[in-house]
Amino acid sequence: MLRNIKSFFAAILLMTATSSCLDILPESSIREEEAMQTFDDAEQLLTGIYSGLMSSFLFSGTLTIMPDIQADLAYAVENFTNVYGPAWFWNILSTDQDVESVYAGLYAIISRCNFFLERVDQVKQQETDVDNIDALDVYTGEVYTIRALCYSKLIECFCKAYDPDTAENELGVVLRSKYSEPEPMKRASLKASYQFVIDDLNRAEKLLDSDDDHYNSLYVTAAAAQALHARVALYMQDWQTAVDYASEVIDNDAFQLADANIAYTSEDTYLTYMWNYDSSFEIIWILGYTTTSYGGALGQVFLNTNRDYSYTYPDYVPAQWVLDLYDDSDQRYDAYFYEYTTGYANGLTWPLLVKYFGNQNLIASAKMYMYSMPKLFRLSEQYLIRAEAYCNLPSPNFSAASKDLTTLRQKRYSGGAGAITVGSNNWKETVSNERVRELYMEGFRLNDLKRWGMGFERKPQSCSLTEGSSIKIEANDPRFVWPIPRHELDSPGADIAPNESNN
Amino acid sequence: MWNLRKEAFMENVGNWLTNAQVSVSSGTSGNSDIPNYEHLALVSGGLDYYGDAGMAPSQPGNEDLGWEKTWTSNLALHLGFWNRLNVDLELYNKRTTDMLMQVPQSYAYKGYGYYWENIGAMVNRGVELNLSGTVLATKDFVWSLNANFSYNKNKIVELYNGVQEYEMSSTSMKLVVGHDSGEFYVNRFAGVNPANGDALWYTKDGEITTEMRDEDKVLVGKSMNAPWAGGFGTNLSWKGISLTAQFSWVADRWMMNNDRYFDESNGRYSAYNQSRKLLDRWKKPGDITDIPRHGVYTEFDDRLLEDASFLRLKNLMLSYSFPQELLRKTRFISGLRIYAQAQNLLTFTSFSGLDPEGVGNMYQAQYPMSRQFTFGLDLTF
Repeated sequence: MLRNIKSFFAAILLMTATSSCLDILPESSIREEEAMQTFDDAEQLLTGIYSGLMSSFLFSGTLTIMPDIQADLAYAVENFTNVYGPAWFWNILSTDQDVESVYAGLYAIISRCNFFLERVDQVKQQETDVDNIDALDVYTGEVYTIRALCYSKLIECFCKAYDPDTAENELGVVLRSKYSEPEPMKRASLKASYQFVIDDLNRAEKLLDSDDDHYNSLYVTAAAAQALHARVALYMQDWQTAVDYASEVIDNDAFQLADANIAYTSEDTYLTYMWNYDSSFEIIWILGYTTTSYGGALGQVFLNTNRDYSYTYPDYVPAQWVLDLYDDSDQRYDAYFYEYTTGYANGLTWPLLVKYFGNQNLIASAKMYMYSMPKLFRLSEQYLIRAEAYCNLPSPNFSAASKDLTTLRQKRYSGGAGAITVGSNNWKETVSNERVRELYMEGFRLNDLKRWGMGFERKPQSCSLTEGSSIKIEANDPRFVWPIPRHELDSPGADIAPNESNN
Repeated sequence: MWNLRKEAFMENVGNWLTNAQVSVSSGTSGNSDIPNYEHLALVSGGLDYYGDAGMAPSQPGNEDLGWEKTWTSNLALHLGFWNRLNVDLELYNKRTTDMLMQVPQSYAYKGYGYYWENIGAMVNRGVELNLSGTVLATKDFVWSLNANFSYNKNKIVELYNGVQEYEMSSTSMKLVVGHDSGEFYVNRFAGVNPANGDALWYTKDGEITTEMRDEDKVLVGKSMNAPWAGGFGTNLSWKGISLTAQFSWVADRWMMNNDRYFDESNGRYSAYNQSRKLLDRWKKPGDITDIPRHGVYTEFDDRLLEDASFLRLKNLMLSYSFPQELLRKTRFISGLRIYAQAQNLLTFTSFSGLDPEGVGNMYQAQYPMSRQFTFGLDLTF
């Protein structure tokens, strides 16, 4: 009997020993070369890419919020916690961790895309199911679009505005199209960088099927690729292309502007429902959150309600001039702002940004305040893109631009008011103001100022932080372009040139 | 090891030298403390998007990854005098090569930013001295003392790929060949201009400037790694009463005091409580002070770099063991001791944070080592 017990223990020991020492792979990991062989693998890697897009350094946080904080849209308050402080003070160093996180985060997604693209042809060759082969084409189109989106964001943050005459001689970004194979680790020209984005989009548009287009999509659709194409063309001053692609999206029956004059529920109009429930006919592509899978909280720095769940403690409050931009009948004001007496000792009472108060379903089921799903593309931006492009055509079409702006504004103003006309003398100011009103804190402003060659001046407002509140930024200040992270300059094996703002 | 005491020529040496040993050793050892799977290029699961499981490349791998090697040479001397005093002296030189390091790599390459490699070399050189002795020993009274101290010098001999230096973002530190691996790299504050209250800094070349610039940062020769450390203690016992005290100390260790960036912001964080030190700020032309006028904010320069050396009474204990004769009568209890103990009772330091003891380059408010008092009763049956 004793012998048996001994051998029993020996067996147990042996079992535990083998399971701990002889695991050749960590749990839930596989070797790179075995990772993408089947259709299911491809689907999982694609999901991994979408999952990465949720990172709080990217669209659900830093990449969206920090550029708008750096621009003229908001003021740090006296009690702010120094979040995005260097951006607000305009002294971003090359060792800034937020900037490094954005840079690293975008390249991490690009690398995942490259990994997928490198292997998808092999999966397709082995696949026998016709539906799966078609699906693989669509997935490939999605990945090309995501890669284009990440490169376009890198260019927005780390390069000068595009000027067709000089783009060949300006610095772009390091262009990687492979995961495994080495490529020169050097910044391409700005022109080549944008061309890379356009090439990716052209490939994507061939692979994606417009029949799959639908509103509020959680995944890339043909319309999302077109929307990005319109945006990039606008930034490249390729006005006609911008008009063409924006028109494709605007004319697409799958989408329509959210109307502030029509009630969707007893409490919400179509406009407020879009922000309170992250769902709208207007949304082209949105990143989906669930209570167990989510990214950053876009509303955090504007509310910080989770400090005591009783009061708000904003780090940043809207600039007075922004609040003044909205007419009385502009329904966006109430949809985006709400006046709170904050929990601060100085009693600051101010209209705070509630656009990102959070998805009501997530709040109800998991008390997830300030979590709004990032809306990567909305139809309203396409109207603004087309209006601006119309004004810049070799022979400007101001009436078409006025019509686009009016169409958008009529959906936002009570009673369908809001008609507006633009001409050669006021189009820039009008488009600029409308973009601020519509796209406030969606990550467009810094790049808009940069590409329009506009500076700005901040003047102190109630309870605003002294440092940074009286700043004057000239047009074309080199700090509109973020410094290349020091890490990139110091890494062996790469020859990456710095920006002017690196000094 | 060579025991001199057993050699013929030592026989004439008097009784004062009770022990004399010399030992020399040299050898290499490996450090296999490699994370188990770092050599593999992997794709990992655990990702999720709207209810679907996903995976993504998780590490680049390096099939050439191996052990790091440390070549240690030691010279030790163990001496004993009158059976009362023991002296242990040890000199060492440790050279670590093929160090396991996370080498920076462009994020653009594969998106990771770092990979593991056996690269670089570092030297630690130092001396350790241990003294312990009994000063008095009579039937009822014993008094003993002990002390130890160590000195260690750390130097980076080689970094990766011929790189001579690497600045670590947001740490105020920089790795430079030939320097300590924990050395600080900061701007040097030069005082306040008495005429207008402006803050002044030194440039890299030692000239005065009113602007704090990245390129004027220098290695200041102060490190987060303490070269000097030690401790000493004493034990006094008389009959059943015994008193033990143990001190420890660290010298020439430096830390950035992150809290002062907020407490002494000089206007940047006007809604937070501010340090009383700011009352001495510059107010009118002619004021001689080291705090600039209000509104010239405190920056992460060598003002916040503080000497975190300290001397601390780690442990103090007073105990009384009841005499055996007394206990024997109970026929029940074989040992009875009562004691009172205090830990971290006294600390001497010029560091302005809550606790100088700790590791790391940056000090942020945290609970200090608590002062503990223990009263106890030991019963043995």
